[in-house]
Amino acid sequence: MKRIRRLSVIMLLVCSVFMTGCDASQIIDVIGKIAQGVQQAMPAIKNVVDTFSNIFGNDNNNNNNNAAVDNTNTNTNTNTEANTNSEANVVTVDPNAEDVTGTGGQSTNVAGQSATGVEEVITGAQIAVPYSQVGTENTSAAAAQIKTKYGITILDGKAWKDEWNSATAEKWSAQQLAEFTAIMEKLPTGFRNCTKGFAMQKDIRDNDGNEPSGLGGDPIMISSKAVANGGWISMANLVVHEMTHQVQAKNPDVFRQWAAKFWPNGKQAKASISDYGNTDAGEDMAECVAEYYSNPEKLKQHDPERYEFIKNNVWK
Amino acid sequence: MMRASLFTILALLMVMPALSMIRTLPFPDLVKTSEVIVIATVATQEVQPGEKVAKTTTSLTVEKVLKGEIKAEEPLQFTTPGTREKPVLDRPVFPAKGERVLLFLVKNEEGTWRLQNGIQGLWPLESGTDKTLGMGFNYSIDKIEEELAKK
Repeated sequence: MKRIRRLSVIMLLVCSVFMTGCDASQIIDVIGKIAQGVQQAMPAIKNVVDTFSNIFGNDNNNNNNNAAVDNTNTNTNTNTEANTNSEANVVTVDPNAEDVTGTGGQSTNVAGQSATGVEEVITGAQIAVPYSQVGTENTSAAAAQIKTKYGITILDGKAWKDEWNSATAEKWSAQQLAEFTAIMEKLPTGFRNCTKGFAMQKDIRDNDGNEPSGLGGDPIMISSKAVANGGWISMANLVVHEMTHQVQAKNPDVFRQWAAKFWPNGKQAKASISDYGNTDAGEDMAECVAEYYSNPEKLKQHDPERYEFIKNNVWK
Repeated sequence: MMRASLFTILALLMVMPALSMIRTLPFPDLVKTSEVIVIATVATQEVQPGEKVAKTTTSLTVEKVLKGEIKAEEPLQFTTPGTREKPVLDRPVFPAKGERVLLFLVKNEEGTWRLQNGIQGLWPLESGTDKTLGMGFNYSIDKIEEELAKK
C-alpha cells in the first residue's frame, strides 16, 4: 500500500511537470487541484472500495461506520449464511444501493420459523433515499413548526417507481398536518427522535398489485388513501408503526432483545397483537408499539410481557 | 465531473424502503375472496439471478383442495423476488422443498394463479404438523373449513 502511495506521488509530480512545462507555481496549482478532486471524490471511492471488499468476502469487523454490523455475532438463529453480514454493509454504507433484500439477516430454512430475520429488519429500516428524489419539502407554517419542534422534515411526495413498488404524488392537507402534530405531541422524545422525515403519497402499490399502507425507511412514506376517511388504518397507528421501524434501525440492540424474547430462534413463541404482527419480529414489534400508543390496555391484556417490554425499552 | 457521474449511477440504482405495511384482509374476506384454497407441498425450487435481486421459482404439488377447483395436472408455480436466504421483506417466501404450505389463490389477468394479498396468502405449515404459521398463526385449517361451511 505504501509503495502504491509513493508511486502515485511520483506519477503526480511527473504529470505536473509535463503539463506545466516546469513552472513551479503551475505545478503547485495542478497538484492542488488534483488533490482537491481526489478529496471530494473520496467518500464515493470509499463506498466503491467497501462494496468490492464486501463482494469478495472481506471481514467486516474493521468497519465501524455501520451500526448493523456491530452486533452481528449476537444472533442465535439457525442456518445463518456465513457471508451475509458482509453484504449488509452494501446497503447501509450506501443507502441507495440496489439491495432491498434485507441482506445480513437471519433467515431460517425451517418451515415454521420466520423467513425474515432480525438483521434483515434492521437493515431494511436503515434504507434511506435522498429526500429530493421522493418529495418536495412542504412549505406550510405547520410543516415548518414540525421541523423546528420535532426535527422531522415533511415532504409532499413525488410520483416514483422502482422494481418492487410505485407511488403517486400527494400533498399534505392542513388537517393531516394538524393530526400529525397531535401524534408527535404524545410521543416520547427518544422514540420521536429516531425519525427524520415523512412523505405523503397518494397511492402506494407493490408490483403484485397489493396496496401497502406505508413504507418504512428514511423518509417514511405513508399512503393518504390508507389514512383517509374510509381508509383502512388510522394515521396514528400507521405513523407509530412506521416510526417503530426507525427505532429498530437506530436501536438495533433493543430490537434484538425483542426478537430473542418473543421470537426465540426465529420461531414465534406467542401470537402478536394482529395478524400482520405474526409475519416477523419486526412487524410484531411495530404492531405492538402502535397498539401501545392507541390502546395500551388492550395490549396489556393481550400480552403483559410485550407491554412491559415496550414501556421499559421503547417508550422513552 | 466524477461526482456527477457517481450521483447519476446512484440515482439509477435508487430503491425505495422495503418495509412495507400491507393492507390486511380480515380472515373471512381472505377466505371469501380467494378463488382457490389448497394445501400443497413444495416440489422444486430454483433460484435465478435477477437484475438486482435474485428470484425464486417454486413449484408445488397440490395435496388437498379446501375451496374451488384446480386441475391436478395444472402446474402450480410461483416466481417470487428474493430467496429463502435473502428474502425481500414483506414478500412471500416459500419454505424449502418437501415443506407444506396453505395457499389462498386468485387468478390474475394472464390466467395464472397468484397469492391473494401477497404474504397474507401464504401460510407455512409447521413441519410435521398442520399448525398454520405466518399471518395464519391465529387460525387453523379447521377454522378455514368452518368459514367455508358458513357460505
